[in-house]
Amino acid sequence: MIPALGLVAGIIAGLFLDVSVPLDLQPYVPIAIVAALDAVFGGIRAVMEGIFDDKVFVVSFIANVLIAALIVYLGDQLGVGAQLSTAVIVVLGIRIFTNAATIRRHIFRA
Amino acid sequence: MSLLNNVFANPLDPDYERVAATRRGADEDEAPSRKPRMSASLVLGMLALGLLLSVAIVQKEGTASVASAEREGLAERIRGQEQQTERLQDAVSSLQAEIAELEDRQLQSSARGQRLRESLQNLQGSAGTAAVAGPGASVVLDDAEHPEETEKPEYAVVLDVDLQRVVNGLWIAGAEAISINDQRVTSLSPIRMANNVINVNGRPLSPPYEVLAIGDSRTLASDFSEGPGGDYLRSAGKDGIRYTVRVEESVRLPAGSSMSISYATATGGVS
Repeated sequence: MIPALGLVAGIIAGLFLDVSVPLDLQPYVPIAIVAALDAVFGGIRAVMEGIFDDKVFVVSFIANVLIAALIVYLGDQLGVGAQLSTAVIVVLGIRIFTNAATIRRHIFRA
Repeated sequence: MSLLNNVFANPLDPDYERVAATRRGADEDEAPSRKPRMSASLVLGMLALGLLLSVAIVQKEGTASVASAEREGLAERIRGQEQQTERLQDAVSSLQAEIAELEDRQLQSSARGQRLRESLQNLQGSAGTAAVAGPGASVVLDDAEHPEETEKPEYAVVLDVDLQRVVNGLWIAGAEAISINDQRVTSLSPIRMANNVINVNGRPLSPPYEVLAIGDSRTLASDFSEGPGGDYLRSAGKDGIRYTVRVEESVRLPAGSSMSISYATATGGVS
């Protein structure tokens, strides 16, 4: 419940603070979002299974975002940015879906 | 495939498991708590995710509106320039009318002036710098209704060549003055295609093209139809171009833009 409130608070803060992303970083924001989503779903699942750990969560969150952005950045430099972002999204997407399915099973027992 | 299987099998960061195992090992005597452990870091992570999300959305909206604003601004500038061109054209034509009026007034005073005025009007009529009216003929050309369905789609639309042939044919048939869609064709009028638009006197025209000619209304249309212009039109008609040639009792042709000749000087000879 409280994490969900955190999400809402984050969205509202983003809307009102009017943070502007530098133009050079803009292509990496969507990838960063997917990576962050993956870390968050992993964290929620860990909470459900009782093995949540602050340090692991923070490290995985930051590392996920940075590595995903780095991969896409490298891809851009090599001219295959679109393909590499597809790869990142596929892998993270699968993880998100599987974690979400596990969370669903924990919540609804189904 | 094994990579994908791996992703499917271990969606959770393995570190969670490892850290939990070491923790269980560390406080073995305590009962392992299965109670979900919430923490500020998860809330913070969610906060960061929400922030990222809304920033991305706001950014997207922002760039979209910037692009459309830029396009709008460009369109605005184009419209402004067009209006200015129109205003200037209006000013030119009103000044020309004023000049003509002043000339008239000056020349009307004497008999010699009267004669001069008549010959001047004649010359202006044939040079195309004065509006003229009289009997004549009209040729209306239009693209084929469905150019893409014809055999040769590139010939099923009216090209500059078609208009050039028609104008030539009308001159041959004895036309004294010609206009295309209210653009007077003078001795300095180019008829040319640019970007699929036909320009006459540098003004873009759109189909249908109405070519008006002044001449002997009894012979102009028939001479045109029997001459090279008519031949050309008939072959163009086979490609899908729609055209009509009509006798006109009275047509009015506008004045062309004033011709200022800067380099050519009259040498006085007639031949």
